[in-house]
Amino acid sequence: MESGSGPAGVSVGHGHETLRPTFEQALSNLKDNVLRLGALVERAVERAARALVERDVELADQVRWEDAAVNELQRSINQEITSLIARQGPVARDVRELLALYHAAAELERMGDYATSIAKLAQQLASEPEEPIFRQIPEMERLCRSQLRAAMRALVDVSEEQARAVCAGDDELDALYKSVYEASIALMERSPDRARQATHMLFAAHHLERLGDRVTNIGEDVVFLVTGQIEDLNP
Amino acid sequence: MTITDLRQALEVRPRMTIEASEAPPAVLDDAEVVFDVQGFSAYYGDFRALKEITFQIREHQITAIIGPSGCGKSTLLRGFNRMNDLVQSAHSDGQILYHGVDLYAPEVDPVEVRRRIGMVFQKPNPFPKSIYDNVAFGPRVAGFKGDMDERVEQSLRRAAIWDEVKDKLATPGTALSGGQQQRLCIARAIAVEPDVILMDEPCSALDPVATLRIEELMHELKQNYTIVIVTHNMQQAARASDVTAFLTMGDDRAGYLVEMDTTDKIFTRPEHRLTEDYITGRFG
Amino acid sequence: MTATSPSAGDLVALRLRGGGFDWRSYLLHGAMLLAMLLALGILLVLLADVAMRALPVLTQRPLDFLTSDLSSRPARAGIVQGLIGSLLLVFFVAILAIPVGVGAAVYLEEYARDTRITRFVRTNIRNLAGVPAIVYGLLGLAVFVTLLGLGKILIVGGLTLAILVLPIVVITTSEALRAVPGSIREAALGVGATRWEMVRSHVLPYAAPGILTGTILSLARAFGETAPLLMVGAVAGTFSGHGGLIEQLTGPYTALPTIVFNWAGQPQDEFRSLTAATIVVLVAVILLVNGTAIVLRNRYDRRW
Repeated sequence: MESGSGPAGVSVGHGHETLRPTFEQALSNLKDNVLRLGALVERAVERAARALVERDVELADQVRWEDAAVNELQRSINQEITSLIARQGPVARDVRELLALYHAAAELERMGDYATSIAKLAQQLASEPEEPIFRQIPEMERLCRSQLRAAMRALVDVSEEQARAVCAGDDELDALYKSVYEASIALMERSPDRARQATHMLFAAHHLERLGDRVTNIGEDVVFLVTGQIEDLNP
Repeated sequence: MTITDLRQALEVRPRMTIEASEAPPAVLDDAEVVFDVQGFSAYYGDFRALKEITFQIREHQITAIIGPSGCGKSTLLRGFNRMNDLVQSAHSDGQILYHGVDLYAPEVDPVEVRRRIGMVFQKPNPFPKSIYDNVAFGPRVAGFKGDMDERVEQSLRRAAIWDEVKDKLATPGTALSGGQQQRLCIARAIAVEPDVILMDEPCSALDPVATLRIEELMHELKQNYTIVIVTHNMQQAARASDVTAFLTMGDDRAGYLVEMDTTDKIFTRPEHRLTEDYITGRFG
Repeated sequence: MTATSPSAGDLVALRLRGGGFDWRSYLLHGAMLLAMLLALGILLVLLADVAMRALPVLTQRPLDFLTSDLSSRPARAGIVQGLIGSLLLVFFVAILAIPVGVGAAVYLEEYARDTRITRFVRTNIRNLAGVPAIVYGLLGLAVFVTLLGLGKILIVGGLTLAILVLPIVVITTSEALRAVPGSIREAALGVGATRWEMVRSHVLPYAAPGILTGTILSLARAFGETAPLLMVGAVAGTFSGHGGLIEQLTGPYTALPTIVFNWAGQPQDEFRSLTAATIVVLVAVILLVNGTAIVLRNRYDRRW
């Protein structure tokens, strides 16, 4: 073993080497896993929306199938966090970080469920006669995904500023949902035979809007991590 | 948290008493067994300090032994390298097998045992000699004929103290700080190339920074050695060890094994109420 | 505001500034100082008295005094035979008592188990240290001179003195060994040393200053013993023994203390001065030896 003083080398205060490399490594792995979870969810949302628009039943199947992986990853993240809290006795920022990651993982898992619900809608819609889909749906989906990516970045960078920006961006999503709502009602009034289709659209938009809310929750987690305060950034 | 998690966490477990003869489950692992303790009881004269301890310690792991004061943890640890022999009234029942060999068999030489099973003590106790001589003493008495300088350097490197002392090997070991002295003692123990390193509350006399450094050092060391550590600092056991054994004192003031499992399990979901009460600080 | 009763702050100040003169403490201090001065004073008075009496001899013929043989004529009497005798005796004591004494102490402290027998032995060694010196003289006479038939020779004197100081060597060495911290022993054994390796490499070096001091003090003690030497036949009168080493060892011999004894009993006045001069030499040597012990001990102590 050629290392000089080993990993636990330089005295505290230099800021580069650390006294607890094992703990630091575990935290780092944990964050990676949360990011991976975020990536899985992002992919699921994208595919679910595409399945809806392109009426691709197989793709929808795939999304529902892969939800198991999302749940499994979240479970293992939970276990790891429980273990770290029990064994490493984290305090101050460390414990806030672990709590933020715990909560973020839970939100991501719920988002995965929404993607699955959209996939189910896609399967149901596919059996309906072909009708143009509201243009707001793909727009909402794109917005959701960019919000999600921004939230993940805020988590990694631990940036309060980025987190607040994400929360502010939710307004656009809410506005889109409102317009889908209006369009659905209008469609149902105009052509009652297309009520089922209109309802599916409404549900899909609703899931996407809820998904956006979950993303802002992650933003609130990041703010909590930084400031220690719990703020409601999405009234 | 899901509803199921919450429910499990709040579940009130029934109070359990454990019979000393009940063998706890062997820790889930494939690693080779280094110590096979079978019904080991230790006495000082007529007083029984340990009652029928049975468990196994596996290779290349850090096994922590925790429990309240006076429950016999140190006695058990010293049983592994026959240091109890130094106390005139000490004797024992049962067996401790080291790689299959009964440590207490009459033909076993305690000096040989201690070469293979080294020990680091609670209060750092470097010899009042130079740093070099401190580390070189063990190999010398073991008859080491090779390059002593190299052996000393390697031991000091492995104990993560080489950089701090390489320019002053001739200065007394007692002139170092507490944490450095303890790492020197670790180097001294390593110098005879043991199989196992026993540590008896190695950090209790050290400040928090020195303590954390030694814990990280233990992580490195376990690649090459098997480590057994007695500690009354539960947080240290939680942070640093792979496997934890919890001992406590019975009404007859003899120590017995309550539970032994992976550290993760012990500190997140222990089986026995006694264990949980102890690690949550509800009884000392 | 006029206060009729003192405030809490006032009370504290009062107590801090002294509740009065602590005469009891000063009295005790004074009494102990007096005791020390008394002890020192008695000693100094004795030494001064002897020194004054020794002045004539030491100022008139110092070198001659130190190099002449014993003689019935005071003007020509000297102590060289006594000096050589004493030195040879101490040499014998050293080579006999020190190895045996240190070895016995090492056995008792490091190897022996704590049984009734060892405790009995330890107690008795302590008792032996308190036995009057003349008893050892009788022992020497009975065993070495008579039983073994060695006669009244220097070797016998050496043997007798060696036995006398042996208990002291054992006791001081035991104390020095006990002062070695147990942690060092444990550390050595823990690394796989045998008991002897531990004792040789760690215990003895650590205890060496103490052992050294103890042995030097016991040699100083042997240097000054008179009664046993008289019993085993150090010559109190004059003799001409002056041959080679063998003759020195196996012939008649004397030592400084016995010379003092002899001259103190002489009627002539001139012998007063000679006696005092011999005492001065004797005390000077003992002070020198004790001083060396202290210096050496301090030097070793500073190392750790």
